[in-house]
Amino acid sequence: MKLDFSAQEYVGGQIQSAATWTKGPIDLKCDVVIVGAGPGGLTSAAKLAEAGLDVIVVEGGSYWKPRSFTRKQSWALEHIYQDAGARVMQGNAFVPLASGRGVGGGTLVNSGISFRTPDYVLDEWMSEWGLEFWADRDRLYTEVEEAIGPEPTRMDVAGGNTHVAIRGFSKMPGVHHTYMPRNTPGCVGCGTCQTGCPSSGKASSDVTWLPRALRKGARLFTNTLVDTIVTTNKRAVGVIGRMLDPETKKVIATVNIKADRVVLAAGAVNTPMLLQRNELANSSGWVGKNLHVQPGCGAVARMEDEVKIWSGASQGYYARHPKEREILAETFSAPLEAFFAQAGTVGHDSASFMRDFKRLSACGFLIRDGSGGTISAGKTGPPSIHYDVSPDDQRKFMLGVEFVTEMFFLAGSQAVRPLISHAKFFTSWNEARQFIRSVHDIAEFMLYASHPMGSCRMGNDPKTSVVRPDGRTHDIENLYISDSSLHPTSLGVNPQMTIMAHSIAIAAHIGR
Amino acid sequence: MDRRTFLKALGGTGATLVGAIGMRIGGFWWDQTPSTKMKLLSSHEILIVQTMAEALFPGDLGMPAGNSVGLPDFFDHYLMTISETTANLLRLLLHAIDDMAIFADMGVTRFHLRPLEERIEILRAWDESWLGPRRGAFTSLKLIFGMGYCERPEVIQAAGLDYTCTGKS
Repeated sequence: MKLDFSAQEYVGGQIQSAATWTKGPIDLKCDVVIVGAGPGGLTSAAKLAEAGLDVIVVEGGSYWKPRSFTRKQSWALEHIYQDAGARVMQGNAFVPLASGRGVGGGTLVNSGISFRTPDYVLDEWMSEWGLEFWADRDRLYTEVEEAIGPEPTRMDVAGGNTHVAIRGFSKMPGVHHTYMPRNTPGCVGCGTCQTGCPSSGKASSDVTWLPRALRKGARLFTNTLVDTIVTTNKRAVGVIGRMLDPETKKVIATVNIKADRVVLAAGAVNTPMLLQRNELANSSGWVGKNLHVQPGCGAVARMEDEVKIWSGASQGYYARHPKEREILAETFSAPLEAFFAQAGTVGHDSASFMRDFKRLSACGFLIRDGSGGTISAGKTGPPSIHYDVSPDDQRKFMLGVEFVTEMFFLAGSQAVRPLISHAKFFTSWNEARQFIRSVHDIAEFMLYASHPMGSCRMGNDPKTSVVRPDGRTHDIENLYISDSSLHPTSLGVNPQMTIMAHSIAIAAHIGR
Repeated sequence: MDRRTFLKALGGTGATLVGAIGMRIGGFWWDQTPSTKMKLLSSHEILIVQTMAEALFPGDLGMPAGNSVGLPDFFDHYLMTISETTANLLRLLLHAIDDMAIFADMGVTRFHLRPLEERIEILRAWDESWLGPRRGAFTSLKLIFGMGYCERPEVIQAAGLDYTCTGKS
């Protein structure tokens, strides 16, 4: 597949930002206004514009031209992460929750991992939540795959970290393991997808769905925050917001867009926040509840030879747990400082940790979480997010940490450190396993999450869901949601393809 | 002392303690005036950051020392990019580490005035605390300091890292 960088040609025209807009207040009319330019918003924009509708997308973050990104984590947090990467969930564990920001949303900072959601999950969505359109899953996913082009990670860019995982998982009977499917046709193995792709090799939504939308006349306003969803007689009729200078936060223009239909695609944290602040669509009381995040943990290992974890695909290989289908192991790379914060020691040992970084290998895993969190928006500022890990999910964490720790010993590592507080680099599998099994407090696990979903779930019962199976909210006519907040449950795999497939299905209803 | 007197004394002591802590936070920790060189950090907070940076990264094995790579500027800039609430909490955390050091050995010396080895021990106690929130808060600081430190070219070079995009190990 060929990446389409043509969106940059529309900057100053169909793409406006605080730097380009000079015409005073933004007062416009259109058929559909979409709030949020992540995978859900941009898929919707492309499909609706191609259906002949006049589409405007508004996005709080910026549009980034190709080759805008470097390896710098601090720059990335400031510019392409929600709340500058400082979003944290409180509960019985401390869990950072990362989400992308800007045109492309989560696809700017993900590793391009492209899985279809397992059939048993989609079957459950059909039988328990009335999402009948998932009977057509093969057509939906095929359309997504044609648009974003996932392929198994190529061996020439897989990197040393992948080779360690291949060695280890190959010695584990009954484990399905293989190269990660990723939509990264131009990957050259920088190992830093999470800071934005430096080589512009990823088929993120800004180089796939966005150019398609622009070619059909869609307009995009970046640096623009929506404050109000305008309704008349329980019918959405537009949005009001502000275009802000991203540096000074000064208002560049007021925004008032009248539309026949409003689509919220701001992500599973911002979409419910917007509804809560507008006191809309919440007769069920479920807006902001049922938050799933697919939290993860993992282990790191010191290998005898250099691994150079920063060189190669960020997440080039995966394995399924042989007994628990709700655990998915994925290799990962991260910047040195992230490893230091989790596994490094303060003081004199910090230097040896950093000097040894070139020999470090890492493998994490995510779980399909049954636990649910709650998002509470205050009047202003970041939301408060509460999330408690259930005992059953804690069991999955124990199994997952054992799974990846054993893999490293089988791969030949002499020292493996499970990502659990008070762990050390263990030199034998027995010693490590004994330690892992002695941990009873979930707060000891070093958890991380980057897949928020489910906070405005879709279903046919207005008492237990926020959105109808055609994408409209139960309470407000012509107010649609088209992002990961729709998912009734956790998926058990990385979500980008399912978000896009959902948006294709919903766009078919909106376009009618 | 009868029961009533005891309860009165306890109540009085508790109220005095809460009042003292409140005055300390309100008067000395909260929203200090920025130093002339910074947008948010006060002169006192710069001192805490500098001494903490040195204790995190003392500069062994040819690695640069943490107090030589401009971490106060980095930290100040980082605070400006996050929400005011979170930035205030991080600043309070700096003061908490500084003031709570007086309990480390029941001495009266705050963190930033202690010698390097004692500062390292104090940070290790935060890092390995059995109290989840205390450990979690410190991990956040460790990540921010780590970013400021590890992104410096001289650190990357000293650690022997060659950030190439080849996919080869």
